[in-house]
Amino acid sequence: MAKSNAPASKGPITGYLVGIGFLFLAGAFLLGNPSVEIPLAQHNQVRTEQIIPGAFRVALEDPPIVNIGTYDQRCNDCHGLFENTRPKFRELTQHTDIILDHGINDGCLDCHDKGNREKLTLRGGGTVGFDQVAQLCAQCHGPIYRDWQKGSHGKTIGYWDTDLGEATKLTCSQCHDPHSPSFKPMPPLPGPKTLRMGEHYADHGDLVDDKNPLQRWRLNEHEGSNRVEQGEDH
Amino acid sequence: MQLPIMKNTTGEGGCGPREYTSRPGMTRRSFLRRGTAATGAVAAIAASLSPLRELTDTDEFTIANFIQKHYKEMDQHDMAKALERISAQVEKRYDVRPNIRDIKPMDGVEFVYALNLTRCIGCRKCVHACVEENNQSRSPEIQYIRVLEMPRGTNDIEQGNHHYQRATVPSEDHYYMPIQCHQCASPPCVKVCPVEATWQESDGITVIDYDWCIGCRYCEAACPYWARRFNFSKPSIPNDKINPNMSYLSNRPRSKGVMEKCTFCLHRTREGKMPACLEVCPTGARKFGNILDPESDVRKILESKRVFVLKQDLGTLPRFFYYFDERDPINEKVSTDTLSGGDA
Repeated sequence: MAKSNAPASKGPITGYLVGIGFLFLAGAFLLGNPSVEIPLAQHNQVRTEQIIPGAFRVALEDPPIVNIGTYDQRCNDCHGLFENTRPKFRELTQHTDIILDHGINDGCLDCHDKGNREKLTLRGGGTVGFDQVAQLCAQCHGPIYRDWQKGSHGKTIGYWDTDLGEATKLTCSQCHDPHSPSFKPMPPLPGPKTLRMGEHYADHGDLVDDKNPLQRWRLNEHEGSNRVEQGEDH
Repeated sequence: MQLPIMKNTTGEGGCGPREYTSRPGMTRRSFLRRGTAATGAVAAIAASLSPLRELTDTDEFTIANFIQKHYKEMDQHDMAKALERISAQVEKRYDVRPNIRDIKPMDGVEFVYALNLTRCIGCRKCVHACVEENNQSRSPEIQYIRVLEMPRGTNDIEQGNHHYQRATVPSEDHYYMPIQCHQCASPPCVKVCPVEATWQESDGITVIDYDWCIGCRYCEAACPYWARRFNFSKPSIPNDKINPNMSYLSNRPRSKGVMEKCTFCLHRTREGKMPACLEVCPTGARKFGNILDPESDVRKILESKRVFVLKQDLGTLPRFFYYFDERDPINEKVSTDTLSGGDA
């Protein structure tokens, strides 16, 4: 209001012009589209089952019980009947689902106890249960075992503050398959499509499209063609 | 309001500009002139407020929000009110009743993160677990963790590739370096904030009051680790993806025009739990704990492992450490044939 008073004193026509100017501005505000539509890339869907926290695999805490026919069979039900004397790996007739890929450790009885298949064998004599698998692995993987004990190898989930809750230190076989312990390559989850980084993908190191959504939007604007596809409601 | 004056001066005709300076007299002409200008001004002001029409009832802007105090100035009563307001807004917007708290830092705790570069395989599970945990916008995408695919033999992160898209990872010619907020002890982002909307807490976590941030993005420019994210547009999260376990300073839903960043999942870690990125890591490359506790994993790692921090020369004193193992399982292929000597 004060603003409109001051120029009004300068001449009879100025007041009208100021008023008309304001009205013009008002029209521009109302009719124009002041909010710029920001182009968004289609976002990557990640299924919840792809990011399950916790152990990487399910480890056996007890020897498996196999249902054969109508009976539940324990390991020793079969293995107690005969003795295996073969020291090294051979073509299996049973347990064909097991793929043994454990370096030079290529004999079943290197780990499984000869006398009691429901236990694991220690090189110095004696056996441990399946839940104590770390002691078995430690016999060859000393530095890793040390690191695992100190906490720099392996994974501890749950609570870092043990006063407030339980910390679960995962054991070897909760991440590694004992028969094939190296980590298998896995498909990566989708890369970033953030506004600034765009969605250019490197396929074998080559950039397929090096423009981010904003850059492409600017290009499309000149051609008047379709904008980058919008994500869902925003 | 000026009508009575106009009535008094109706008789004076043919006024010139000089009369205005001597006395605020009003003629028909001057009334029309002023009236037009005033109407125009009012209309223009009304029109300039027209973007308010676009506000819906699910938007964050409310008077209560506007007059809310800075986080550090709020007492218990203010905070309770703020939490109730945020809670109601979240429920309105996402149809989910959140469990939102204001969790204070614990005494005698300083958080430190350690990441084993030998073990990271670049699967990006941490990235997406973080998005789910922290209610980050899905469209546009906001991610706190970026995983760089780095050529072996360099730690020049300018050579890192964000956008690797392979059938499987890891690639044998690369190693993978996830980067997120380093929770610096001397944080450049905090120094540059003109409104003190971001600060470092006693447990070392740099936080943002989303209701105080003005969105100037100075902190984003100042951060040498590219850790800060800006909500360029209104964040969108599907209702069924909302994580109802929220805290004021970490993962409550943000609004358009504010910054956000990794807080080491403080709504989890300040209650003793591990951060979400750690729990999802398939290889156990991520380690988290209280550095002040001599028995903690991170303390032992810092004492015994080969550790480095990113951009050490900047003097930011990060609380995020990278370390190595003695042996590298990815680069080191043990051949069964050579070792067993053809025994089989």
